[in-house]
Amino acid sequence: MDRQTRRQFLRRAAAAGVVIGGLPAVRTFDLPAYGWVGSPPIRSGGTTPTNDPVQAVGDPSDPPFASEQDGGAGSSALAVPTRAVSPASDSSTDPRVLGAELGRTGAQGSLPFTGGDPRRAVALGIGGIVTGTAMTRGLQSHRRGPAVASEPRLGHPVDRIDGVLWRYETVARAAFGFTYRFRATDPAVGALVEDLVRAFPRVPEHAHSWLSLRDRGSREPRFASYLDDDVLLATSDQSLAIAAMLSAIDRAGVASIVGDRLVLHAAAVTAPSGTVLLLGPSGAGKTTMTAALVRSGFGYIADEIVAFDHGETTPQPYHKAISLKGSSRWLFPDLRNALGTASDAGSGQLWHVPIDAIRSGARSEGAPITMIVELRYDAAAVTTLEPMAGRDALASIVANCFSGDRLDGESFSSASTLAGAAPAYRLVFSDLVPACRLVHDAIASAGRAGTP
Amino acid sequence: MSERRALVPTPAGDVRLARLDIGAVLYDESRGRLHILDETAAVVWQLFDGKTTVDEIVSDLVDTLRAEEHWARHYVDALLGQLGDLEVVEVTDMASVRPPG
Repeated sequence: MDRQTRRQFLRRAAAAGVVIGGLPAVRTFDLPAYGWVGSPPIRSGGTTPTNDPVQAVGDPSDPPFASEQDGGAGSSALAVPTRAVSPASDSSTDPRVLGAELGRTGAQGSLPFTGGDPRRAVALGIGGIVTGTAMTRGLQSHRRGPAVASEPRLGHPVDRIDGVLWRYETVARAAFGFTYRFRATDPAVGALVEDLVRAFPRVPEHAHSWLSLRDRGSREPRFASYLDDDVLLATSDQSLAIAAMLSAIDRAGVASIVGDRLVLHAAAVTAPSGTVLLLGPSGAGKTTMTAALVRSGFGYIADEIVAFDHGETTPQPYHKAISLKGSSRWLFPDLRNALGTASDAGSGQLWHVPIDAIRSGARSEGAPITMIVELRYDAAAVTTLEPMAGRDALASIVANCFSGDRLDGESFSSASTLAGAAPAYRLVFSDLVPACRLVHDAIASAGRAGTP
Repeated sequence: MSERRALVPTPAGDVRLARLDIGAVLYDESRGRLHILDETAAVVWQLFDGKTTVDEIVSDLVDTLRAEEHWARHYVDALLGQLGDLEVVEVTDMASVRPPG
């Protein structure tokens, strides 16, 4: 830069208010290397052997393929979903049970959001979020016991593959560049899982991988999920085996595009007035906020994984099932009846819910991001939405990149483009309802401001 | 008699700058680190081009931002110290590397 150019540059800076005063402020932080998708990770409740799958899930003396008992639609194979959807076990109308649940979640220090009795939340106006009918036809089928797949299956309903009696197979689907088919030994559970992945686009014919869910009957650990020949989880809790499989889809989906696109651990929802990118670390409330915004009318673009072509600001749809943590699921009590599967036994405590159960027809295509919101739950805070400097938004975006070992320069440039394309806000909240309203108001205001 | 020096700051090779509404973000790809600069630091960073000396930068700041020289020099030295510690900028004494003659 020659002297004249330097001085012109500095005069423009001076006109913009730049002054020399005090000491320079430089904040530094190390970027995490993301190799994991999911909030939270599946940790306990089972083992994660990596050796031979058949040997891993049981006694080494087990035969390499199952007997007719294996994977049969046994009486308790549906233990988890049956517990969740049974009217007799539905405790949503029992304040004692709800109170106990609140107490438990509070003790864990997780996200009670509104706090107090959920009936109060309804009285305060959260009813638009927590009420409504969400039962879907596909989920209804789970109550009928051994289910018939609600979608055509490739292959045969009863077939022997790899020496195991698989009674349910799905069509091939894609999570970004990862294509897979799912199979299960228990057709009822197979249909249930299919509801959770139904929103992923179908792909013709060939899939890269098999995701398999096996019920080993009387042998322990009874349930195992696999990605091809690798055991994802062998456990006595079927819900955890399913959760491990769903998490594997996310991980493989990210792995299929990292490096080629900007991939964020985030969520995205859209409305006619604009599209919101929700950022924040695990536990910040992204999924709960996404569910609440979708319930209140926003379209669902993605949760957990938001991907952009380099240099673009339009997120690509990733219509995974919503995984609600135990600490926030009481905000959506009707979803008990739409429950795909619950991971009550493990640390995850997740409800996996098809997005159509949150709001029918909520799935949306991507649209350019018009607002960036960094979330932070703070039980003691007054709920506020404050403007955030672009540099801090960029830092937040970059900190939430799935970057493999290291964020590459192209991804950083794409993150810069994204940060510069939309106003950013920091939403600190203790209460979901006013937080949703603030987002609604801000996006509507931004939409009006952008209207010629 | 003091030795005359010509200190020239140069950004490290793997560092990228993103200018935003206010301030800037430096990304040190080789170390996986992010550095958020305030607005003034972001402006001064852009003068670290591997050619302009510290004296020239200070002189420009004094003339254009109406800063007193000792404050401008103090600021630039402090910024170079911080960023040097973070290994995102290198300062070369060009007087000592100039070929003889």
